[in-house]
Amino acid sequence: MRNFVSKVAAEIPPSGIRKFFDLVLTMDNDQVISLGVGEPDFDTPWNVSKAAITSIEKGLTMYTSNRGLPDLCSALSKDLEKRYHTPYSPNEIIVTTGVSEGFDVAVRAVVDPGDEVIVVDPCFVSYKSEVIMAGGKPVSLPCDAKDQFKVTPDALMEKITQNSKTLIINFPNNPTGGVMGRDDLKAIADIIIDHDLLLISDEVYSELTYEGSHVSAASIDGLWERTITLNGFSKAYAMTGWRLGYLCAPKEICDAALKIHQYVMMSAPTASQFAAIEALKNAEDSKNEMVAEYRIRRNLFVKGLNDVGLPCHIPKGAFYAFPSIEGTGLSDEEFAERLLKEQQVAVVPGSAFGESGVGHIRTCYAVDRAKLTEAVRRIGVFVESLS
Amino acid sequence: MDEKDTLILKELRKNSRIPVSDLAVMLEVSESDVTKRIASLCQAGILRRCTAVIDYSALGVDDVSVILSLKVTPEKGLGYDGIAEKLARFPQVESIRLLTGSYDFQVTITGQSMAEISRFVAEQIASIDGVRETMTQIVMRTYKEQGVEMARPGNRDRQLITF
Repeated sequence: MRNFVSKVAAEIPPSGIRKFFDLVLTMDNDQVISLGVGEPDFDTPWNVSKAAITSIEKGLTMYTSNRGLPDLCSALSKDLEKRYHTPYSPNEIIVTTGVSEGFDVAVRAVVDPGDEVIVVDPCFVSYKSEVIMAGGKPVSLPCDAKDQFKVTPDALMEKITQNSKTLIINFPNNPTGGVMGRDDLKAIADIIIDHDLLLISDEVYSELTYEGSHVSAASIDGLWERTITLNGFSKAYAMTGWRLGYLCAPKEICDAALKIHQYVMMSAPTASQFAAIEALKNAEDSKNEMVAEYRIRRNLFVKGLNDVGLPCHIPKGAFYAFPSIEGTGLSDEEFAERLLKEQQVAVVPGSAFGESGVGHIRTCYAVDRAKLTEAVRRIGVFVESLS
Repeated sequence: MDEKDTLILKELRKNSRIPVSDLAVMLEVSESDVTKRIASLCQAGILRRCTAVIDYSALGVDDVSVILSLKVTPEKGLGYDGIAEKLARFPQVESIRLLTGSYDFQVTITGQSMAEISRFVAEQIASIDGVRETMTQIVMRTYKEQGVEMARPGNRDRQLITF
């Protein structure tokens, strides 16, 4: 029999670190404190869940238009203008099945074979593989702890060649919690414009911004017309399992993305779209409460990490701390493996997120405070045992 | 009272055993500042007691709780306050609220058996001057108490690692 697996599928690297994840699967869930997840620990606000339940009870269970429910697109259009001053008309928005689909569609809508795509590093695990699957060539753009994991103009300039077409950024960042403010974005905007690049900005953690408000890349002068903005409901409203995101782009790009979206997905889950309308209308308080709680946990947790000897900058967004473990003498993968085996705390080795993540671990503080405190204690015992 | 005091109260309401050191990190102030704030909240009579939420049914204790609704005749000069104070002196009485609607007071009482509570209501409550009518309802199950959902497990299935 022939080998039926395509070359692309065969060659795509598996996400993260195979050996470590195999080990995680063997662990007893009840014993392990997991700081290894990438999702809120809160329930979806009940009024939001109820809106979906009601839509199902009413029998509103058909496909929606490809773009998404018109009411949702209008609500998003207004919300984006109000929140981030980014003017997208409802026909410049596509409701997607999570940001994951939005990202896939965005990359395939703009990347041609051979294009160089500059990707922020460290970054969410799927970015580079998505670029490869679209025939593009990912080029890592390193972000350093000393710059609080921001993209600097110098680092960006270094990666630009005549084949560069697209830049992918994600702030607030998974895994570092780094944030780019208005001045930081302005500083790279000129380079993006001068080199005629397209920007894909994944802003799914936008509402989890702890100092000041989120600045959307498309709100910077000269960027809107060359930006695809991706966002979603998973993190802000604790809706990871609902699989709902959205893509916003100037009409020409949005129309191209819509063609791909309609072939691969038809439309995003209908019940989730009804939930999303309710989230935009009536979940601001619930969201603010969750964000306030994350902020408290961040302060407690990051202080704890620094106290036990893992240096960590104060992340300004998302719900991750990304401490350096280099002082322990272990590699990040060894650290994660031994911490899991010896102290039953699960974290993700930083190298899973790219070369710039080497020597760090990603720890998620979307975990209740009692567990966080216990996790810090166990990490302290582990670090102590190494010295 | 400022924002930080409000946050201290909110946190204590969620977890009265929260360490002062945690509150200090959360509020970005010193531990001694937190201690001072808590002391003045107590002194001002705002922070009355730090307590625990216990699921007695999980403990296997068969205590009985009732909700007692009372119709009363307000006293001259005192209104409802005199009767409320008399009710409040009984340790068996856990809470007393004055309500709008057809009953005036809602009182919660916990005892070891229905017989004990019946005796208490008949002998001690119904006989208070001004109490015109009582209605006693037995609590069959507590689903939520002080914001805690009793019937719901604290842990849900979650992946150990996701990106």
